[in-house]
Amino acid sequence: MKKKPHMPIRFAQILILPLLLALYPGLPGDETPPKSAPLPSSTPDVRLPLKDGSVRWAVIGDNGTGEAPELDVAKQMQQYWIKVKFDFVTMDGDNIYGGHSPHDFEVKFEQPYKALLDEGVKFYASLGNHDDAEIEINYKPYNMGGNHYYTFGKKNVDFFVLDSNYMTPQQLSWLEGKLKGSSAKWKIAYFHHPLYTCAKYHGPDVDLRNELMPLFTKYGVNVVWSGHEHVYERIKPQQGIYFFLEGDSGELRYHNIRGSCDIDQVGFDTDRTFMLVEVDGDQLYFQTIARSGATVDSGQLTLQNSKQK
Amino acid sequence: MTTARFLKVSLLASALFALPVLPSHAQQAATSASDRKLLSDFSKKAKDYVSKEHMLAQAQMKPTSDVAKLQQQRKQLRDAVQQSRPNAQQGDYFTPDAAAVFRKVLLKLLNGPEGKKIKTSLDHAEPGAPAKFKVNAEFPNQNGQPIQSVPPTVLKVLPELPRGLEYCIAGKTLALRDSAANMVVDYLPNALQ
Repeated sequence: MKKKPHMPIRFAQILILPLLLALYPGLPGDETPPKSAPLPSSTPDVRLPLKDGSVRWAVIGDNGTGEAPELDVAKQMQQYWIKVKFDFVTMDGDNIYGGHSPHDFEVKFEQPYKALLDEGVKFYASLGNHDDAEIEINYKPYNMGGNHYYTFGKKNVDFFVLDSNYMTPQQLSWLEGKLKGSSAKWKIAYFHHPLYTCAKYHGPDVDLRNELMPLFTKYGVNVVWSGHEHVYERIKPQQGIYFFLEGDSGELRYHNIRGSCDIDQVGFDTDRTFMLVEVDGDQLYFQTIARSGATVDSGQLTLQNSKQK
Repeated sequence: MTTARFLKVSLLASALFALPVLPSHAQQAATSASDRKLLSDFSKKAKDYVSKEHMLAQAQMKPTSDVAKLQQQRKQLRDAVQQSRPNAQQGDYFTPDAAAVFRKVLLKLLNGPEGKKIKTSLDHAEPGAPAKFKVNAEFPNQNGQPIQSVPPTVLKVLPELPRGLEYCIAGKTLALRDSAANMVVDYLPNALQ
């Protein structure tokens, strides 16, 4: 016959444990999230102004796992697309984890984002350290045109997509030429390795920062996105440039943001996310949505030095 | 034109023609003329490799949605390159003389003012492809292991490579990777001390 637990232990089981689990859905350091997917919220809570003629896109990063959380985020994106009608998605790298067989591309990209691809939403990928560069740059749905780094424009926004795995002097020189030649109002750069982050797994790439920041400041880059760390961060402007880290659209490192770090304006490391962005004139609006459908960050950024542009 | 002016112009023109071609970052990092020549020869051999071996491809990779086709094209290229250089061995590109210069340049960099942040950058890398390389074999990342990114400051001091070849760091080894064929061209053990 089993002994009944003592009352204090029973008290802990009944009251304290559920409380702790509610506060910490994943234990600190636990990288394995609950597998049960939260259902997408029925009504997307759109916080973008959705102005006529604006440029709208979504941002994902470190997404290519092919597992349930990536699919949940993709479902949310699909729900939001119905209202926001974003035209394209930028990818911060680690687009496909693990193998790169045709089956991998199917389950880690084509199936999760099928609804968006069917609607004609374009994806513009950058390369992460888990990506198979030569295959992915030639994979048509990533729109890289066979290049490790490239640029594309949408109305008054120019995007500079870099290969931070392999930042050669040739790439830096190419970037300088492209930035110099851009007359777009908004210049946005994205690549995999973060120049600034409060996440503790990899930390910021200071060597890369020293090479890129002089070009970004000299030629007026406005916003930078990166991934690599499996969290979401909105960083305080650095040398006048806005920084986002969107690296948890598939992978996640629970509780990985250092509490003692003071460069984050917002940090979120307890669920997967994606971002929605809208540019209208001198304003950039953003909204970061978790896979539960909850908005974890949103706001508005004003174009720096707008009078000069 | 007066004689004096003619002489001035001639002298200036002679001086301009006499200027050497500006050296690359890598050549600047090398200390002596013989080191610079070795690195320059390495670059030339790398360019010759791509001109010769990548011409063997039945079809160049072009953007397509057909991943199987891309994989097949890459394998065809690798097979062709492997057959074209059956006797390739470690040290063909990182010859003993070139290897000594590579090690010297990297040592100088890692012990210099940039050294700390380069080491930090390398330490932050995820466990990458195994450092056991075999010349002419497929690059050892077949199971999708991430390939270590190469810090930009390191790329600045190494000789320039043509598109299709890349440096790769795994542990202390510096590998020369044919990125188009995903194949080991050569490698230099203990490149990073």
